[in-house]
Amino acid sequence: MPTAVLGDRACGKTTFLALLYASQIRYTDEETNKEVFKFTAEPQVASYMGELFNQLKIGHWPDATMKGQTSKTSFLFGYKSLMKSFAKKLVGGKHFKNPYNTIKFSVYDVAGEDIQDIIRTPDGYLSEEIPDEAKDLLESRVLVFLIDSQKISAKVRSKSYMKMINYDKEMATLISLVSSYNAKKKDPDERKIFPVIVFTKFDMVPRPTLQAMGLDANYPPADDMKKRRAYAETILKKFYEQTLAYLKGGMLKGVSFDDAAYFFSEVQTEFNEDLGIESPMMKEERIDYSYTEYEAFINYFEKIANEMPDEIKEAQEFVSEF
Amino acid sequence: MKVAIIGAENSGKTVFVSLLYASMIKFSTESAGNFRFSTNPNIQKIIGDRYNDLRSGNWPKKQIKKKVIFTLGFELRSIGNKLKGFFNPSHTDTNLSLAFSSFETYDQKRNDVNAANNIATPLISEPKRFDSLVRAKIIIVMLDSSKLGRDTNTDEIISKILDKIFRCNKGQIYPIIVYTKFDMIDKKKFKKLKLDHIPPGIIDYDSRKNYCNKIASKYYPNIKDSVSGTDPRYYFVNLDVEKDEKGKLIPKISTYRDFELNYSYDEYKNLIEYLCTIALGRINKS
Repeated sequence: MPTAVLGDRACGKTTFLALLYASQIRYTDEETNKEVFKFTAEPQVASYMGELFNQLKIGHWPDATMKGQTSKTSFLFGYKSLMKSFAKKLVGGKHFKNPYNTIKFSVYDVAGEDIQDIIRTPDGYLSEEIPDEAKDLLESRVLVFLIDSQKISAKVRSKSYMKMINYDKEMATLISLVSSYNAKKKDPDERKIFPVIVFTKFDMVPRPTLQAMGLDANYPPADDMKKRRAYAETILKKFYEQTLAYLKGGMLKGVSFDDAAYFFSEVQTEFNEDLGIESPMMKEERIDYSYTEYEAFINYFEKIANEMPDEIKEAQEFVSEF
Repeated sequence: MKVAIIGAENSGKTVFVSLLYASMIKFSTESAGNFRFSTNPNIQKIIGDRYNDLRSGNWPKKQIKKKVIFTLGFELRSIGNKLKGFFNPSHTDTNLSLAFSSFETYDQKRNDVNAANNIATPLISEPKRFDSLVRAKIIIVMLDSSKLGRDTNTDEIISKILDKIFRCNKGQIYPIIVYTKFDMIDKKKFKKLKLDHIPPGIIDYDSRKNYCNKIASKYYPNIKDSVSGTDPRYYFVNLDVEKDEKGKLIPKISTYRDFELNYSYDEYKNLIEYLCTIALGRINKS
């Protein structure tokens, strides 16, 4: 199932990619996950993500404009297929020895020209000549929106507030675009969209803002989805209300939005005297970040991969591509 | 179902549609919300911009002149299965899309409405030109409360337009009278009418109707006559304002109250429910 990771400029996309890369390494290091999950990317992208991770490891924030960055970053998650019998391993006439269901992630910059073009001309999805980038996005069945928590602002009329509500409108436009585009599909299963919201830099939300909403600074754990959804939707209701309303309204177009999944990303920081800025903090020689959230993110996609994989790959295909 | 919104210039049509959108958002995201809405991406962008202007404490930079289409949906657990199959778009057994409403605003100054106002121009002879207006099943009349007694033209022009719509449209029409900027009324005028400046609650329909009839008898007698054979609904809407540094009135954002616009949400919510009720009634009849 093609997955689009969407984020505004400077919303923490690069750090999110670096932490996702760090997490997949740590995740597969765990004995129980070793043969269950695999990650792969084109060599150039893998090298780029690896370099981002290396920067974090030395206590620097990853550089978004680093050499080697491709125009569109794509990578694959692979989950060991649950298919047991010999017969089921025959897919599309091909016999798999050790099959993995894959999900392809593509990262988009919402402020980028291609995406802004379709936001500026929202009727464009009706055109037969949709640019490739836009078409890939509209075909995506999982939408991962990165929301920069640092921009959550209660200061009405401030620049940050304007940026926040503008991003809300753009996310709502994108949801409306994807809904309208997918509404044309005949198969109801094909019209199912999985929304995912990742609050990046969540440690930067001013505590008084959370308190004003009656929220604790600590978000509920990932295994308590009900509480977590209520927590996250309280924030959306106040600051990203158009996005939330359009997620709920997709069903009127015949496009089923699965209940949104919510994750929180944060990196512990300390003041770096050499650089004069807050830098990523290390703990037991590892970067100190919300690993359990990334672990939950990886686990979340397992169910989707098993239900509707993009394609099936052999285990060794992951190894060879590294 | 087509909805026409008729009002004088600056009567608050754009703010009204923007706040209707704000209310749809709020209503659909309320915890027990059984309401959903959707629009196409183009409309979302237009109305989202206007709403964001308000949200940031400014008046909408541009007016809404384009037709705005919302799809409204209500959850109907009890009759869901019965109605299933009537509707093309969407749903599980318990969620049904009820109303397909296009909201089109008509300004008194717009050419076609001016033409409609000209008695010599039979509305029906130019079906294409007045198609939307004539085919509208719900007519929302916007009356600027801050101009009560000062805009005599509005009464005459809108009543003529209403008369023509009633004459051309053989089906049932649902008129809705919306008093905008109701917080800016001249309280002395209400005192003379022996009316409280706070209208009766939205649920007390009869009291509200009597209250509105007294206002209309004095200030909008022609509109009152035009809608006399129907059963109009009445709404009173306002948006809290404050003065900026230059003394200009701008929308007030209550930061103490959840960083929200402070406006008559209950009136809009009731209006949304009423629109859905009309749609449901019409669908049942079909």
